Amino acid sequence: MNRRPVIRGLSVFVVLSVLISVAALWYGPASLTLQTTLAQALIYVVATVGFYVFVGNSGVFSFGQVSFMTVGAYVGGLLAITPANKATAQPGMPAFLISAHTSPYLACLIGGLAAGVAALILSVPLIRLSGIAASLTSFAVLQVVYVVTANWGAVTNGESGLAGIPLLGNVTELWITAIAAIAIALLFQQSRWGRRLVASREDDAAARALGIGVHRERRIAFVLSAFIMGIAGAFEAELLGALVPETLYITATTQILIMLVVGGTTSLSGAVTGSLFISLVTELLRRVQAGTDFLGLNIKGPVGIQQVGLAVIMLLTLLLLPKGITASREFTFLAAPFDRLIRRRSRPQPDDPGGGYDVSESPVAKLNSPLQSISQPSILCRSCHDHRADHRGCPDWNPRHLPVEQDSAPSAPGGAGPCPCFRHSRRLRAHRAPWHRRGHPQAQSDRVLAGQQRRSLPRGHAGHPGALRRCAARRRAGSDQAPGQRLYRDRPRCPTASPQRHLGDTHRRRYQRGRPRHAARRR
Amino acid sequence: VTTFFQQLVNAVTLGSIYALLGIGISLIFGIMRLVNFAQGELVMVGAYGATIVQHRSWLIILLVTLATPIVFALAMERIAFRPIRQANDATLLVTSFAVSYLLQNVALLIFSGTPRSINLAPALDESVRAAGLVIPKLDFATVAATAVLLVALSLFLARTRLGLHMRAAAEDFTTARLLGVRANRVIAAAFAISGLLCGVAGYLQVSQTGQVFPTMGLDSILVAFIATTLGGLGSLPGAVAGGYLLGVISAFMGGYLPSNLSVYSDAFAYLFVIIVLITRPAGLITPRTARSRV
Repeated sequence: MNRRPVIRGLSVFVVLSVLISVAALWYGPASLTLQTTLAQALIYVVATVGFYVFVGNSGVFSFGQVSFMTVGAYVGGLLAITPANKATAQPGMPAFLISAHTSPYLACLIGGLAAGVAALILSVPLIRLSGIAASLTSFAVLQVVYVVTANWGAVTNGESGLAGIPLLGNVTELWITAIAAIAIALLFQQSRWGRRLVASREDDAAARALGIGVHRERRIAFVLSAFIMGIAGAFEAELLGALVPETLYITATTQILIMLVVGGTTSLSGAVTGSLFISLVTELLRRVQAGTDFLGLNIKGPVGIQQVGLAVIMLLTLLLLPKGITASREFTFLAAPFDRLIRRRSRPQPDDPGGGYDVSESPVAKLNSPLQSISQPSILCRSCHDHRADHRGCPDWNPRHLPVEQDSAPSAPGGAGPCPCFRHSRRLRAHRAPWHRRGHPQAQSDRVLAGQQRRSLPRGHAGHPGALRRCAARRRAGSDQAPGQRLYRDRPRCPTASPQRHLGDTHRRRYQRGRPRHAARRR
Repeated sequence: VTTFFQQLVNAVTLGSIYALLGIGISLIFGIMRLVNFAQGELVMVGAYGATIVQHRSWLIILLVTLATPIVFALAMERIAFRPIRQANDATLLVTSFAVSYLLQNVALLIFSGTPRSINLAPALDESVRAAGLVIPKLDFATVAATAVLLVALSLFLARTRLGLHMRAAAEDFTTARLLGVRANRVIAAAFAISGLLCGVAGYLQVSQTGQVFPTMGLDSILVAFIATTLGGLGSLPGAVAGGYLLGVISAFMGGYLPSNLSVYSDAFAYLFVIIVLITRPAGLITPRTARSRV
C-alpha cells in the first residue's frame, strides 16, 4: 500500500491546523478590537477554504460563491434571533419563521446545509457552464441574490437587514469549524472525486475523453463549497450581530478572491495562508489608517488606504507571483523524511523488479499473458475505477494517472518489469531503454541521466544513441517524402528528408552545392 | 400609447449608452479574450476628470472627459494586462477585477465617497414637446452621438489599415501576428477606442444623472456585461443589439411592472442573462471566432 498521499495529507493538515491555532490562541490575551479581527480572520479562513473547494479544484472562477454565504448568513441569523425579537422587529414575517429558533451553533450548521441545498438546486442549470460564461453567470447569480435580499421585506427585512443576532461568545467553535473545514477540503481533494476534478481543471477535453463525468465532480465540489461558505456566512452574521445585504456582496467577494489569489489559487495551503496573510495586512493597514505609533513616529494614512493597499498587493501578486505566495504548493514538508524512508524501502532490488510492486499480479501482466489478453478489457482505469490497489507501489503514481490503453511494454534489460503507470505503459518504441522513460525508478533525473545511461550502453544495443539515430534515419528514408518537405525540385531527393535537415552543413554540401548560405533567406 | 412611445424613447436613449459600453468590452474581448471589469472605472475617471475642470468652458470639459479614460485605458493595458497577456482567461478576468478595485479605491481615497453633483451640459437641459411626448434634448444628443460613433467605428474597422489589423486579430490573433500585425499596437488601439467610448458614455450618463461617485463604474460595467453577453461576447453587432435589447427591457420593466415587483427589475434582467447564458453560452449572436476550439 502506498502511504505517501496519506502522510502528505497529514502534513498539510498539521501545518495548517497549527497556523489556525496560533490565530485562535492569540484570541484570549488580545484586546477587544483585535479579538474581532481574529474572529473575522478565522471566518475568512473558512470562507476562503470553501471558495477554494470549488474554484481551486475546478478552475472555474465563480464570482457567485459569496451568495451562498448570504444564504447561510440569513438562514443562520434568522434561526438564531429569539422569536420575541423577530416579532417586534419584523411583524410582517411569516409565523413559522418567527417561531423557528435554535441555538447559535446549530443555526450555523443549518445555515450551511441551506446553502448546500441552494447550491444543489442552482447547480442543475449552472454546472454545465465553464470559462467566461460560468464567471459571468455566477456574477449574475450574486446580483440576483443581492437584489432579492435587499428587497424581500417580509423575510430579510430589506435594506435595513436583520438585527439582534446573538453574538459569538468565544472563538472555540470558530476554531473547530476552521479546522473541520480544512479537513473536509483536504479529504475532498484527496478523494477520487477531487482528483478527477483536478484532472478536468488541468485539461478539460482530455478528462472528458477519458470518461470523467466533469459535471458530476463539479457539482459535488460546488455543493461542498456552498456548505462551507454557508457556515462561514452564518458565523459572520453572529460575529457582527446584525446583517445587511451589503455585508456579503461585491466587497466580500473581492476580499475572498484576493485571499485565494494571493495565497495561491490551486492549493489548500494557499487558501489558508492567503486568508491569514491578507487578514494580517488588512489589520496593519487599518491601524495605519486609524493612526498608530511606530518607532516613535505617528503614522496616519488617509481613509481608503486599506483597500488601495489590498488592491495593490493583489495586482502585484498577479503580475509577479501568478501562483501566489505559496507557489500553489501544499505544505508537504513535514512528510519529506517519511517520503525518503518509503522511497528507500521501495527501491527496486534485483530479485524484486517491480520495486515493492508485484509485477506478476499486475493487470498489465495479466493482459500481456496470451491466455487472458482476450478476456480482459483493454482499457484500465486506475484513479477513477476500482483498480487503485494496482498501482499503489508505483513511485510515479499521481492523480493525473488516468485510464489509458495498455500496450505490452517491452521487458526491460536489467530493469523493472512492466509497470502499470501512465507513462510506462504508453506505446513504447522498442529501441528505447526502459530507464529513458520519465518517472521510472531508475531514471533519477529525467533527461540528463537517461542520456548518460544510454551512452553507456554497448554500441550495438538498441537503446544506444547511435542506434536511435540510425533508426530515425531509416524510418525517414523509408517513408514517402511529403510534398511540402521536398524543398528543391531540381535537386535529388534527400534520402533522410526533413526540412530542418536540409540546413545542416553536410546536406548543404551534398545537395545544395553552388547556393550560398544566405541565399535561402533572401528568397 | 403615449406612455408606450415615451418608454420607447427612454429605451433608445438607455440602449445607446449601453451599446457604447458594450462595444468597448466586446472589442477587447474579441482580441485578447479579456472581459475587462475595469472598464466601468474608465467611465468613473472620465466623470471625475470633468468634476476637476467643471468651471471651465464646455469644450474643455468634453475634451477632459474623453481624454482621461483614454489615458487610463492605455495605462492599464501597459501596466496590468500586457505582462500577463499569455495567461488564461480566468487570470485575466481576476486581474481586471483587481484593477477595477484599485481604481475604485484610489478614487475613494482622493475624492471621498460622497457623490458630487455636476451639470455637464446645461444647454441640453430643455425638452422638446411633440405629439404628447416630452423628449429632452439630451436624448437627441445621446442618440446622435451614438450613431456618429457607431458609423465612425465601422468605417474605421472597414476602411483603415489599423481597423483591418484589428479585425484580423479578433479572428485569429496568432495567425494575425504571424502575418505581421503588431500585437501591442492593435491591443493598445482597442483599449484606446474602448476608453473613448467609455468617455462618451460617461459624459452622456453624467449629463443625465448629474452625479459622480467612486462606485459609479460598477453600475455601468454591469449593464455593459449584460449587453455584451446577451449579444454575444466578441461580436460588435451583437454588443449593439444587446445594448438596445437591454435598454428596451429595463425601460419597459421600469414602466410596466407592478410596483411591488419593480424593485426586482434588476433581478429579472440578471435572470434573463442567466437564462441566455445557460441556453447559449456564447451569447445570442455568436461570432465564428468565439467558438471554443479544443
